[in-house]
Amino acid sequence: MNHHLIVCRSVTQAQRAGRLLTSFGITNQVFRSPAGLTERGCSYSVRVRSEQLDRAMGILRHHQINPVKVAAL
Amino acid sequence: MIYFDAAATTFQKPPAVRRAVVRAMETMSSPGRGNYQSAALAAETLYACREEISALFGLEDPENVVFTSNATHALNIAIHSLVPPGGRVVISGYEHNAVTRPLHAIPNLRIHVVNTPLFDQTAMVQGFRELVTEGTDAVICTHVSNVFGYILPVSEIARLCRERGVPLIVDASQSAGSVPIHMGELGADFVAMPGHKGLYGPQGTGILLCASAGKPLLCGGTGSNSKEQSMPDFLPDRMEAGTHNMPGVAGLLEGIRFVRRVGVEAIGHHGWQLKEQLRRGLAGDRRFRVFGTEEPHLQAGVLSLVPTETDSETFCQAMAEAGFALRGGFHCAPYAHQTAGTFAGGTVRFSVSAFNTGGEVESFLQRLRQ
Repeated sequence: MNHHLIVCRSVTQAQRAGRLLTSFGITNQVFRSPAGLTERGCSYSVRVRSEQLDRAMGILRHHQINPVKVAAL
Repeated sequence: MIYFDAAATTFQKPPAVRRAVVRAMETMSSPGRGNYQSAALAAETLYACREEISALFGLEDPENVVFTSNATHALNIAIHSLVPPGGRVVISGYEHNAVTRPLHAIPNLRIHVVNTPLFDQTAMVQGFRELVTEGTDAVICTHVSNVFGYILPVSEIARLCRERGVPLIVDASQSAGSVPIHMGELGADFVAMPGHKGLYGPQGTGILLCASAGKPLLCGGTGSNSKEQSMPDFLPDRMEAGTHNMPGVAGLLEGIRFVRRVGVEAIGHHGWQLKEQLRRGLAGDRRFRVFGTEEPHLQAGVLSLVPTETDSETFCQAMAEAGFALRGGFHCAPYAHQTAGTFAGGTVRFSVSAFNTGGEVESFLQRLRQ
């Protein structure tokens, strides 16, 4: 099963994003991003199934949560 | 001992607070620093506390909740963010040293004080209307006087600030948990509060509610943007350098759950009832000058007395020996004493929490009658 990482600026933003997606029925997991994924250093990501990425991003944008980037796993 | 010093810190806590502190020490490490279980549990608890605080204070985004070590720390961040050297601030005449000392440490600052009588909200709003002008860097106002329990008209002052485009800092040290506060409706830039008073958390906890990111007071590790040498530009990381006080936050979470379960208005009404019981019990007693009003919208569960036959500290010492914990002196708020005319000897302060009872107040009154 393919997954994408929604990279967030902080653990707090990732937690907020994760809880929001859960409330919309999107299964996700919050954890530390792989090293080197962002140029700025440590960050947290929300992992979602690739087929749910577009819906997840739409929900986050609607709630003014703007991730740093999205990366395929 | 019967404890009447909740305005300093609430001594009795819900049992769940103590259990949470111990559990955190046994199970939690640093939040936001790892994927392993103890770090993840700490991060989960920290975020749950942000959510609980947001729900209690009408804050839409839990990222705008900043944890501090106490209200003084939170106020220092807010003042550091908004008040520049050579600037101009307007404050109420009831501010605590947690506000006034940081202001006096800022070079060439012009501090304008709204000195209006106790329990006269109309005069206070008028005083702010006259002094808050274009070019004012900030207005700082306590919500409830820590000396007199006077509930200041912060909603009206906030409206005035919004109309004139002046940032507002509210010191909610005595109101958080007992007087309703809605950050969204208030429109303040910062609201500062302790965790260890009306929110029933442990000492060493404080909260700053932020409308937007300010200037960091401390710089250091945040677990984010680690390759950069400037603090992150986003909340809460920008204002939260270093490892969090996880036992404190875990206890605070349970304290806030208690407040939400019982209800802010119910706790506030209970405090007002006990304060009224004492105020009425002392009516006509010439040994005390009592600073109170029966109006529930003007005074919270704090009552100040001036003994006429002794000084406030000697009185409190005698009461301590009789098993009653009250606070004498100036309560770190000399401006409030100047405003109310009690600057010479301070006051005896009686303050209560959700755990005090009418029976305790009656015991105190009986002791005074002896």
